[in-house]
Amino acid sequence: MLTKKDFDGTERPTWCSGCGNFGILNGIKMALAEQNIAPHELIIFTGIGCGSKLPHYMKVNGFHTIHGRSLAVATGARLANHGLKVLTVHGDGDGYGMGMGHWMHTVRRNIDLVDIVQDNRVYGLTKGQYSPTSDPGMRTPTSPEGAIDRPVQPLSMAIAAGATFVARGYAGELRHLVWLIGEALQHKGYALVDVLQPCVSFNRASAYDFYKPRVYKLEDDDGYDPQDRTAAWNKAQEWGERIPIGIVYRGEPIPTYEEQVPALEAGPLVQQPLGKLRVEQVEALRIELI
Amino acid sequence: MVVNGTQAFSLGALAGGCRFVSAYPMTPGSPVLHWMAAHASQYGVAIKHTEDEIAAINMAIGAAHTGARSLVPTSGGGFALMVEALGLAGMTETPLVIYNAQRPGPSTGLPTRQEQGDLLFTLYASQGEFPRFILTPGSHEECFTAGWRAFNLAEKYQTPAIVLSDHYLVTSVRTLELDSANNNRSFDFEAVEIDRGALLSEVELDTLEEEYLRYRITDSGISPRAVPGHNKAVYVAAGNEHDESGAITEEPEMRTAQVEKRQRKIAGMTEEMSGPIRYGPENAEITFVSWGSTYGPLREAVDALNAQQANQANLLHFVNLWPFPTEAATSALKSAQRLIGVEGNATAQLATLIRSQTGLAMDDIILKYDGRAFTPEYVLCWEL
Repeated sequence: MLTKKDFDGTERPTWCSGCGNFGILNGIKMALAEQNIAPHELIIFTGIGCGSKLPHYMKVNGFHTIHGRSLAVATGARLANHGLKVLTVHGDGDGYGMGMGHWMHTVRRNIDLVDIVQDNRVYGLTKGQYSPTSDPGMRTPTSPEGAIDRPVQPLSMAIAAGATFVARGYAGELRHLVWLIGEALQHKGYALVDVLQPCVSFNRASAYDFYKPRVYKLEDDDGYDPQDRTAAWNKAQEWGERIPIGIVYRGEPIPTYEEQVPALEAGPLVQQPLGKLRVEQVEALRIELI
Repeated sequence: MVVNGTQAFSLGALAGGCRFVSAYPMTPGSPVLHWMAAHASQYGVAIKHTEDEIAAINMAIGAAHTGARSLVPTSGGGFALMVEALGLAGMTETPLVIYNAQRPGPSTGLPTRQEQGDLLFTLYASQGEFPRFILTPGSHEECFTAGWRAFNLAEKYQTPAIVLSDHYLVTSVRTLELDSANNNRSFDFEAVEIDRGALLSEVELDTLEEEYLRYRITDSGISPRAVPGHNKAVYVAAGNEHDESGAITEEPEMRTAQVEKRQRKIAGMTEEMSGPIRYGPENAEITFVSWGSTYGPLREAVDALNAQQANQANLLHFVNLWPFPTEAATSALKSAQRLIGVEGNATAQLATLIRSQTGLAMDDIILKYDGRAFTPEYVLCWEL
C-alpha cells in the first residue's frame, strides 16, 4: 500500500508561504497514494509558472516543459506509451492563455489524462500581471487602469469542447481535492480539475478570505445531478457570492483517442519491438513503387 | 522503381524505426505525413495531424521522451513555429528528427516553389546553445539514407537531428534500379542499422546499483538514458537548467558543467560527419560547391563541361553540414583550383558557413532565388 511519503521529494519548494500550491501538491500525492499509482507508473507534465515546478518537489516521473505546451507534450507521451498514467499540471496563464488552443484540442480528442489547473487568476511567476481568469477591472502592472478582458470560463469551455469529466477544486479544501483528483484518475478520458488556488503574494483579493465564505460543495446539494449536461453548463457559470466546487459534469465515458489509433492496438508503441524491416516488408514497399 | 524525394526519405525513416509522426500540413513537407499515414497501421506507426506546428513538435518531444523514434515533417514556416520547442529538445537531450522541406520565404513566400534559404536559420534556431545535426541530402539515395541515419544520430547523441530537403527534391521523380546489389544505386535496406546509443534496457535498469542520474556528467557528454516507467529510474526532465539528477539549478558551477557536458557531445558528433562527396575528376579547373538538391543539376553540368574538355570541372557536395566536418572539408576545398559556390538562395549561406568554419572563401558564387530549381543550363550559361 502506498502512502503520501512514497511521493516525497528532497527539494524544498520555492513557493511563498501560504501559497495554494502546497495544498495542490499534497492533494496530488495523497490522491496518487490512495489510487495506488506508484511514482514510476505515471508521469507529470508541467508548463511554466510557479506551480509548474511541482514535479521537482515530489518523487515522480516528470517533464517540466515550456509555457503553454504541457498538454501537447503529454499527448505525444500518451500516444507513445498509453501504459503510463499521465497528469498535466499547469497554471491558468499557461493553460487558458498561451496553451488555450492545445487545451481545446486535447479535450475534444479525449486524450486519457488528468489535467490539473492551478487557477490563481494571476501571473505569479512574472510578478502579478492579470491572467485569463482575472476579474475585469483588476489593476496590475499590465492593467494599471483595470483589466478590460472578460475572463475565460474554463468549466463551460471544457463542457462545450466535449469533456466528460469537469471538476473544480479548492486548494483550501484538501480532503475534497484529494477525492476530486482520485475520481479524475479513475475517469476514462480527459478529466479537468480546475483548482482555485490562492496566490497570497500577487492576488490577495482572491485569496483564502475571498474563497472561504463563498465556496460550497456540489455533492452537498441533493438536487444537483452532475450527469445532466445542461444543468452542468448552467452551474459552470455560477460565480460570485456562491462558488461551486466538486464534480460539475460527469458524462458517460466515450472512447479515448488512444483507444482508436490502429497502431496502438498491439499495445503501447514503445513496448513493440524496434528492429529492421523484414524481407517481405521491404519487398512490399518496393512493389508499391513499381 | 519510380520514386520521388518524399518517398525516398519516408522509406528511409520507416526502415530506421520511425514510430511516431506528428505534423501540421504545410507544402512541401506534408507529403511525408501523407506517406506515413498511409503506412501507419501496417507498420505500427502512430501519426498525428495536429492543431499547429507547435503542437506537432511538442507531441513528438513527448513521444520521444517516452521512447518512440519520432519525426516532425514540416516546411520553413512551420519550423519557425517550432523553434522554442527545438530548444526544449536540446535542453532535455531528447532525440528528435525534424524534416524541413524548404520553400521560398520569408513568410508565405512562394508556397509551391523552390529555394534553399533555411540553412543558417536551421543552424542557429533557438535561444541559447546546444548541439544539433543538420543533414542535407541531394539525391533520392541520400534522402533514403538520411531518413534512417538521422534517427541513429539523434538517439546516439540525444539531441535533435534536422534533415533539410526542399521542394525540388521532394517532387523530383526518378527511376532507380530495384536491385540493391547494383552499386547501391537503389535504396540499400540491408545497410540500415538501428543504433539506440546509450538507451538503458529493462535488464540494465533492473540491475542498476547506483542512483540513476539522467544528466550524469560523462567524458563523451552522453548520459545513459532511461525512458519513464522503471522504478529504478524515476526522474524529472526540465527545460530549466538542471543538475545531474534533473533538478532545477542556478548554481554557476553546475550550469557550466551541464553546458560543457552538452557541448562535449560535438566531438563525437563531428566524427560521424564525413566531408563533402567529390563528383568528377580529382583535379579540375573549376570546383563547384553544393549542398542539398543542387547536386543533380551540378552533376549534369560537370559532365557537360568535361565532355567539352577533360578535367574542366568537378563538384564537392555536402550532405553532412552540422557539426561541420571542418578537417575533411578544408582539405578537399584547399585542393581545388577555383571554387564556385552554387546555392538556391540570395546570400550564399553555405559559402558563409564554410568561410566561418575553414577560413576559405569561394572564388565565385552562382545564386538563384527566383523560386525555380537549378538546371544544368543555368549553371553552364554563367561565365565560368
